[in-house]
Amino acid sequence: MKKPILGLIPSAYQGGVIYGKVYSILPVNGDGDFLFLRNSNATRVKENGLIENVDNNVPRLDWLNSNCPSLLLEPQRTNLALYSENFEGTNWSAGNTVITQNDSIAPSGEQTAIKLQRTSTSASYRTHFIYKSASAITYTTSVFVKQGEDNYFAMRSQGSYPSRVDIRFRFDTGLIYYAQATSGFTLIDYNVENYSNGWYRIYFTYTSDTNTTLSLTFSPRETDGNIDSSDTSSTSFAYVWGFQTEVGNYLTSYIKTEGSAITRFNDQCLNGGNGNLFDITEGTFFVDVTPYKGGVYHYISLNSGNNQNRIIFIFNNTNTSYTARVVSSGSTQLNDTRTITFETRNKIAISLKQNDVKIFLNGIEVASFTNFIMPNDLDRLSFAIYASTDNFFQGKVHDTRVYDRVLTEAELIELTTL
Amino acid sequence: MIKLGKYIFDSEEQAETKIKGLGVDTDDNGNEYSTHNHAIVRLGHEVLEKGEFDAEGNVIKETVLSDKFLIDVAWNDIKDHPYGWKSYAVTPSGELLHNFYGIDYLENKIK
Repeated sequence: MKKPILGLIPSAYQGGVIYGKVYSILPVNGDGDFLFLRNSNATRVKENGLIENVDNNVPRLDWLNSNCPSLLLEPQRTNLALYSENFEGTNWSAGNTVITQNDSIAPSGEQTAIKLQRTSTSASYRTHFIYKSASAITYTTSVFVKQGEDNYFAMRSQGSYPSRVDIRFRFDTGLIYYAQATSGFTLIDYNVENYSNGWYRIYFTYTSDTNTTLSLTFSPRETDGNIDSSDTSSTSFAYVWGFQTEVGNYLTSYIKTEGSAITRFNDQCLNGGNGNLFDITEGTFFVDVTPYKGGVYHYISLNSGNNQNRIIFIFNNTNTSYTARVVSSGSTQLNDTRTITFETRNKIAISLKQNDVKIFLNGIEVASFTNFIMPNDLDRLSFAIYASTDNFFQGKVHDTRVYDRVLTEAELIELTTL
Repeated sequence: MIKLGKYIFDSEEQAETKIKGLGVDTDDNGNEYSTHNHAIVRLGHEVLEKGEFDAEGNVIKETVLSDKFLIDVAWNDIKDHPYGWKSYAVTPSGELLHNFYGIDYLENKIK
């Protein structure tokens, strides 16, 4: 297969005071490099599986559960949980539990994990309170846990009792085996990230009731049960670290807090390529991405810096489909929407030339068009809407390519097969 | 260059009007998107009285909220509060409710 004129396989980057750079592998002269902006620190998972803090404007190559890194692009999020690595202090209550700070190696590789131990066979749970507006809000709550003495760990998010979500996790299976919403709460999603070093990140997404306090509780257990059920053990313990509650409908990377809520800015990867590179009369635009369930429209666009000429992939706010759209001189040439699964890898390619367009999704041709005018003046590839001010792509980028020719059907199948 | 501002508006509606005034446009799907590069954080209504809870986490006294609405902004490439924002700006002392990750408030606040 001929080489692309622009190829981004996330592998090299550079930070910077004003902006960082994500280097394209092609072209080699730097014309394909992307600007990268994130005005705050953030965290990523390194190749060795440990979480590290990275400075502002440093792109994040994330290795969580993968042999190849991907470029992690996340929206702005705020961790509302205070003292995320202490589990005590302002707005915490002990509830028949004790903690030992710095008792074990944390997911960061530092000696900062906390031993959380129950002190009674009666209900034993440590609680954190978050004050909120009197409206139903969608949150994602997460915590890192590692097995201590016993096999079970229970969590709850609660508004005005009995409105709540209960989660129960088993260390021997590494799974949440029970998740239940009650009364004014709605459970949206739950799952576990396995860090392969004994640590699991448990998370659940839910919509709260309108109570002005949200109570988040944690309880190590010897037996199955909710946080407020009695247990056979009065000494059961687990290790915990990195508690996070964020407004939003999916889990994002860990944000450390101390005495205040902390906001991580969004990631912006913009303006790869230029007018000379994209001066093409035919071509193929390919993306290999894991889109997140942003609940908003988020874009990847090859464009002219305005809305007049563009080839775009829009990941729709329903979190169930994407739209391929091409606009030439202000006139929409095609608009093709297909169902995809978010939070998993998808490979999409669109090949274009005058009166001949084909779209391939995950190894299958899903659409073709014959009445088509090629856009012109394309001069940038951005993981955002054409204006590059909003609708930033949310997800992981595994590969992105632009070819200056229409690939053959066999090439398109090979390129897009998962 | 980032500059930080903290604001208390009279209501959530007033805060949203101010935010919208920073610039919005409409995309192909008819949805509004921001045309500015500032980072807005809606901290919610001001807490007048914190709730009280017993050792088991049961509510003894409910939280009391004000109508006033708190916003933090990281302003991108501007040195002063935009028109119409300055009169709502506050400079808290002591422990802050909110910070931006890795950015010191005192060093970067609008003077």
